[in-house]
Amino acid sequence: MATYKGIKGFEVQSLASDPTTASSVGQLYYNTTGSVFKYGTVGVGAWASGGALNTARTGVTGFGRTQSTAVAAGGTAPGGISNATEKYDGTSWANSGNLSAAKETAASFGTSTAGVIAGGNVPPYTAVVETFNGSVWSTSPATMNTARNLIKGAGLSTAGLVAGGGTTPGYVTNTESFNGSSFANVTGTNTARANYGMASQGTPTAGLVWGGGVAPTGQTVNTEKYNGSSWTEVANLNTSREGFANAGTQTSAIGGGGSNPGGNVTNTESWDGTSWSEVGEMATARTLMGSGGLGSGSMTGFGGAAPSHSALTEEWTVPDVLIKTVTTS
Amino acid sequence: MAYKYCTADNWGKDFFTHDERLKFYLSGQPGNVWVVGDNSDGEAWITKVSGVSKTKAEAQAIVDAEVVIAKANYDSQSDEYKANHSSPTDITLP
Repeated sequence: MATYKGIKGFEVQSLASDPTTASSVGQLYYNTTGSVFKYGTVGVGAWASGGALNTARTGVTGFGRTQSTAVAAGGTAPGGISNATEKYDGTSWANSGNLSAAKETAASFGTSTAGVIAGGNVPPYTAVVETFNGSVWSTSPATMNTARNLIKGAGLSTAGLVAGGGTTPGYVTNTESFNGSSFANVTGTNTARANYGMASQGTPTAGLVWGGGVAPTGQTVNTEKYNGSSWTEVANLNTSREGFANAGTQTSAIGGGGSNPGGNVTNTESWDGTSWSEVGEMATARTLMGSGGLGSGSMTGFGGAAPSHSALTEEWTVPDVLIKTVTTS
Repeated sequence: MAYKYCTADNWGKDFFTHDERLKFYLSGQPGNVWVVGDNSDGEAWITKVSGVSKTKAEAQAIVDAEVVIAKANYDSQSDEYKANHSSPTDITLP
């Protein structure tokens, strides 16, 4: 009888525990703990439940550059617009210092220890900027040039980008870059939009926005990328909607959930720098979420309207390898 | 696809895991209603979360009641709120 060694020239490895690295993709091994043969395949993304926010809210602003270092600030809670801030550690949320002013649907960028919130709805729509040091918010001397809400941001506290949003009387294309001290107007997006998705780890010279509300026609599938001087339309989303959880860069991004005229959706789409692909759906359909995360392989989405104010958190993960057990059927 | 219906309180982390999401259909709905793919892994998850089984009609009634509450709450909000938030829509369970 042919043996594996006879065919392949080497024996199957024996491992006590399953490997977790990408180098295990395509590898067959014998798991000595379970006494079964297993093999590694390319990791598949899925949403898992995370710890619930202490304060349920919609229109919450989120930032943080990893799945387990997200920050939730403001939003509308059952009692009204909130200044509550919470920090996530990958398991649970802990209350932190409150925003100086209660607000919802603001732009944000930065890390959990050096974060920025800009604009939002107080009401009225504001241009005020606040900075976060990991525990305390401070009002910045900088302000955006255009007060607005339903806006997203990208980058770091020393190099940020905000685009679009809603003003009185409508949605705008206005884009502003932040150098750590002040905002400057730069070239606007081609499509005026609000409540869209944005690659939160983008930079002032590498931005990406997608979807969102486009008055008066509803939601768009339009996607645009920014190179520091101009916006260019690229491949469309598969499903038009607004109110995403979002993360990533211009070449690797993720957008989950949102809403369109059919209601809240669970759709999640992954951007590879060229096109969008539908991937695993969220468990609970929500819109106006906050989010933090690394990119197409790792993100946390929290809060939102589901349809009432939600405290739910879901974590999107694409593991480096997916381990499967060899069966005879 | 066949489904089972239950109610269960989402306790947060690991209420449903990445691995479980790859094994069966799962959809969270208002009122702590869960629509679960009808296979052995879905059954095991319902047991794990101490889910209380419901018929589809019972589950739909819970969801409908929650949507009515959400709509009433929305209708009571200010015009400024409504400018930024869309009205809840009816949900039909699969």
